[in-house]
Amino acid sequence: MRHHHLALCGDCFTTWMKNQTMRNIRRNNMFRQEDKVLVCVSGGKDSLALWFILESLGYQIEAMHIDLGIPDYSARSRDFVMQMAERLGREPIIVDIGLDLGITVEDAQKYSKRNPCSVCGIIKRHYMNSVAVERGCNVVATGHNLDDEASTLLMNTLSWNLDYLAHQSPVSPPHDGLVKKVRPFCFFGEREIGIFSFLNGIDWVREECPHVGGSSTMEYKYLLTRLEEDHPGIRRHFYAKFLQARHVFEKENETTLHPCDRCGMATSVGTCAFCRAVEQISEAKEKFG
Amino acid sequence: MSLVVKYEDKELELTKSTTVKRMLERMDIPPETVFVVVNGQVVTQDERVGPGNDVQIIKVISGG
Repeated sequence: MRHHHLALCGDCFTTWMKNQTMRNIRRNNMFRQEDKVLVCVSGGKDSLALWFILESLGYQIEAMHIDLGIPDYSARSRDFVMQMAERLGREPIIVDIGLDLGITVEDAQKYSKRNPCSVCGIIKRHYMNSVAVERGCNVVATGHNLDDEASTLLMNTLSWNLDYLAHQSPVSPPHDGLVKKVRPFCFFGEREIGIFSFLNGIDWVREECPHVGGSSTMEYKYLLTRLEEDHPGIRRHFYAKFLQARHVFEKENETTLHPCDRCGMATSVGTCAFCRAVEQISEAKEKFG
Repeated sequence: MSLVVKYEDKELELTKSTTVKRMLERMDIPPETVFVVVNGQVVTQDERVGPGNDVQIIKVISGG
């Protein structure tokens, strides 16, 4: 790890990853042993490794997987989640949106004009919160890593998206019915998490989501990895320095949220984005399906 | 005797040993987007690879 001036053997690297995760959790006041944490597990390396590490650190964990109904890809992702569940001796919460809502992310693209990635995000955010509330979890943890954070930061900076900059943080505090969200892996690069997973026998879904093609996130990630080669540590520096200065983007008055008139989850408008999306896609499916 | 290394749609034939760094350069793979496993072990960029080795290049960058 050139950016840390550190070279470790496999066992020491595994210990280092666990210690750094615990340190980040404590330093950012993400959660404590008495908290109940909902870990969102996609079947990718980041969330599987996060689940594995948080269990090994002895936290109270519930794991949730959302099956988005993307042909082949969703089934394969779910298989990797179930493999980890078996290894850990845990029963994950599986939300199958095809069964739960009667529509899938695939339907969003097939029958409506909505961007499937945007619909996917809306659906995931809804279930993260609603399942956490249902299961009595006071924290939601996701596997977002340094490459995710730095590429998002670069995108938002280039477009000076002040609202997004104000909200990008390792910890989103609880707010008017929204459960606290945390990102314990936000200072680990994808490479570190990939190597950790390999060394610990964690297998993950290798293929990309079929909807990711041409996503600008990937472009920014590649750009940053090229920079990282010549300037080791630049991603971490970019993100860490932003976090120190982030307060300048914060607004004094946060938007007040209230329960959605349909699902009861927090929203700033009458009917939340999730309910509106589900309604629109369901109608389009009925009409054209 | 040679070693054929494959990664996505790329392929490189090595007839003599080279460093992992040089191998990735020749295949135009940014080193930060992958890690390399030689004979079951994760290796650094200084490691030499060549005919007789089992080489895997594992992608770590994802769309998220």
